[in-house]
Order: sequence, then C-alpha cells, then structure tokens
Amino acid sequence: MDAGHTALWRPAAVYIARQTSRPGHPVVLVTLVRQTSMNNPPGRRPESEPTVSEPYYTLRVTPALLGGGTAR
Amino acid sequence: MTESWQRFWFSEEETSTLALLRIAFALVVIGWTLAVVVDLSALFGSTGILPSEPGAPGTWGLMAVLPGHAALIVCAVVLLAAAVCLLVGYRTRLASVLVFAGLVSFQRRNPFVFDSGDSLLRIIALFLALSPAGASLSIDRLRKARERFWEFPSRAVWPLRLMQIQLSMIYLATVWAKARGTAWNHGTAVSYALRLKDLNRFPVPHLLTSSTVLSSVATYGTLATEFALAVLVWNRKARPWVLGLGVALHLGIEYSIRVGFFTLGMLVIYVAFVPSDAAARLILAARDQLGRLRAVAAGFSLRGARRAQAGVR
Repeated sequence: MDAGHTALWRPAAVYIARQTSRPGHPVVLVTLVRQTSMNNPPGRRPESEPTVSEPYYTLRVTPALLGGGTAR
Repeated sequence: MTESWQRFWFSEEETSTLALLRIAFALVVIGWTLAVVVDLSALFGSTGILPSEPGAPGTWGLMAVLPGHAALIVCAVVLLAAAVCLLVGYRTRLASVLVFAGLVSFQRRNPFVFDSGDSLLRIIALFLALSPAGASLSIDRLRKARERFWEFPSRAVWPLRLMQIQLSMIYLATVWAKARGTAWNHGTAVSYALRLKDLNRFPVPHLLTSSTVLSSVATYGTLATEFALAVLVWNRKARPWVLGLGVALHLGIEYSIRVGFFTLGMLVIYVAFVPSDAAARLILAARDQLGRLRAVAAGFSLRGARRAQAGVR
C-alpha cells in the first residue's frame, strides 16, 4: 500500500485487524510501518543502505471495529 | 493537404487488423478481470481497504451509484461476460461499451491499486467502442454474411489511427517526462529500476545494475528506443524495426519488473500498426492451420472408431 495516501491508512488498518483477528484472540492494535531502503547510484558501494522501518500510523482496535460494517 | 488529411483519417482499409486487435484485447481483459476478481472484496468491497469510492470532479463509475457486494459481483460478471462477447465478436459494439464501462468503474472505485497499464486498457476499450471492431472474424459477421465470413470488409481507418496516435503520444510523453528528471539524464535510471526489490520479477545480471557504463547504455538506449517509437513508427520502412525494438524493450521490462498489465496493453496497441493485408494473411493462415489440425483429429477419431468396430466383430 502506498503510505502517501493518508485516506487509506485507517480503513486499511481496520481491514487488517478484521482479517487477522481470531475467536478468542482479537487484534487490539494495528501499526502500519513504512519500510524504506535507499539505493545508491550504480558503481557505488554498498549498493543500497540498510532498510529503515518507521511506524506511521497506529490504530487501537475496539470490539465495535471488529464487529463489521464499513471501516470509515 | 486536405486530400492527405482525408486519406489519413478516412481512407478505407480491411478490418482484419481491427479484428486481431479486438481478439488480443479481449484476451487481456479476461485476464485482467480474473486478476481483479481474486481480491474483489479486499480491494473494492465496503469492508475492504477502501470502503467507499473516493470520487473526483468529472469522474464517474458504476460502483458509486451501485454500492454493495452484490453489485460488485454483478459488475465483475458483466465485465467478464462482455470481454468474452468481445473475444468472439458477439454484439461487439455493446460488448465493447460494457467492457469500457466495467474497466472505468473498477478503476474509479479504487484508483490506488491501478497503474498506467490499466489506464491504457481503458483507453483502448474506448477506441474499440468507437470502432467497427465486430466487422470481421466475429459472430456478428457470421450472422450478417455467413458465406463471406472469411472476407474482411473495408471501413474507414480513423479508429486505428486514434490508437496509433495514442501509442506515439505515450512514448513522446514518457520521453518528455523522463528528460525532465535527473536519473534518466544521469544514465542511472535503469539501474535504479532494476533494484526495486518489491517490483523485481526475475533476476537480471548484476553487472547491468552495478556498472555505470552498462547502466548508462541501458538508460540512454531505452530513451532512444522510446523516442524512435514515437517518431519513426510513422515511417513505413522504419516501422517494423522500431516496433521490434519496442517489443524487445517491453518483454525485457516484463521479465525483470512486475508492471501489471502495462506490457500486455502496449503489445495490444502495437497491433494497430500491423498492415491489414498482413493481418488478413495471418488470420487465413491460422484458419488453414486449424483446418489441418481438425482433419488430423478427425482422422484419428475415424481410425479409433474403425478399430473399436473391428474389436466388436
């Protein structure tokens, strides 16, 4: 998912919570993490920098959110 | 001048090229629809990652007026059925309009999951809807003139011209956009593109991405090919060569980078440049080949039946 589209963050997090929740094991928190790795120009070492993980959105999942309906 | 203009747009040509393009396009749309159906709920449903259509001024889509899961399934089924009708040329005009409406609707419903390849399919669908795409090699033709099915009636060439101009404009626009950036000017763009891990399909030789010389050759070579495609495709003698280069370029991209339906869309629109006599020869050769295969199959089944009969006796 393109992390630049802020309108997608919440519904995507709700969707992930619903997809991964299991009976007796409800998801309570979803964090979206942006992973980036800078590629260096050809010929330069190392070829790419280490991957950086940066959380950019967190959703506290309530039972009501897992209940269904739209994720708006 | 006026005469040239008239000839360019309104001269009549056999519709064999259009028939080939229609069939190729319909096959791609069938594949596209099946690919979309796999994630129908997740990508387009009200409980998916985008609960409602984002909407934008001047845009339209059937799923904005027909929300709900049932409507979503109906849209997918109608699109698939329309694509099959387009393939066989049954009610071709209606089928192509439905394919266009279906592609627009899905792409508007969740524009975040589509790319320029999907937009290209949408544009080709519009051009096909405007064209007499069912004039040849279609059930429509069979219903209209059964005894002359293997003839290709001539029609004004302007719908094909629109597709040809579209292809030329795509390459001009891409060269213009790339020339204004830095990576293409520095000769490093191809190296970067081939190192986008989340988009890689099959591995390419490491030397191509690590060598500054090879990376520059690939980058400037790509730009030169694209510019040649935009301009030299209008030259009759150069056309086969630049289109061949284009096919190689797109197959190379398809091999190394996952670009969705972009490659297939581009190869479909290339068909617009296949001369109508060559397209007719190709179709008739395929018919003859099919006839031979059918005769061989009939021979096999006849021999099988005789053996079975002999066994009974």
